[in-house]
Amino acid sequence: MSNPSTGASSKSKVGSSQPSETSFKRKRGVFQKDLQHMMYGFGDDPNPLPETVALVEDIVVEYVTDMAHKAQDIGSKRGKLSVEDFLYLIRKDLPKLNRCTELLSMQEELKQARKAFEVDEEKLGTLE
Amino acid sequence: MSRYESFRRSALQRSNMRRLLVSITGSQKISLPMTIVVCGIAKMFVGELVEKARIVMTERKESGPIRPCHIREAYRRLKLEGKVPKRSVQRLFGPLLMSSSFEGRYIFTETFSPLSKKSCTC
Repeated sequence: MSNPSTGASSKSKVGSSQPSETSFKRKRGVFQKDLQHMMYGFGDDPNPLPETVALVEDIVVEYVTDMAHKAQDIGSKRGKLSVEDFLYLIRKDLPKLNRCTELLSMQEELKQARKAFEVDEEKLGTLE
Repeated sequence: MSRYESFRRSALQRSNMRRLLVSITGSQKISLPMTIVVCGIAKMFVGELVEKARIVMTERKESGPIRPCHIREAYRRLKLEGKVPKRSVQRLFGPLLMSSSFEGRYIFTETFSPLSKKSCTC
């Protein structure tokens, strides 16, 4: 039957001799292992079918590609691409928006915690 | 319990996502928060796909592992709900409706996409 992948993906692992086109030489199974665990977590079988995983990977890559292109269009108006552009794109989708703000604030918190940890290490170093 | 553990701990690798974003945008300046955000969005998208595929399966009264036809049907329904960004690239299968300077997007529906199958063929 027909190949379930879109036209943008190819199975060939091309060497570096070709000039880079718009992501037409994507390797297969980049996210395969992670996707298997993820699909189980979301309700699939403990061992999802390989063709299902391949199809989901194709769909996700297509989704990320379209989102990135749209974000680039938005970002080009103000200069460079930033996180704000992605947040603008998902503004209508509340669960995703809330999750992203939560991820970003956690990332900030971790960064602050690491900085505080390093400052403490320095203090300990000077004391001894 | 292990399903919940898989749900919480599973994630797309940031390095792979960063590589993908660099190849899409052509720019090397992909910040770490951007990678994190896109990984989070993609994970939630996978969740929507799998959950909808399960709903499709219960409608068809099937059981077992999810098959590609369920995913395709789930993807089609998500597109109808507007949760999937539409491709703004014109498919040149008909007369060009707009000039290049027009900013708005007349989007041709993807009638030739292999994902838009009407019946389950597997």
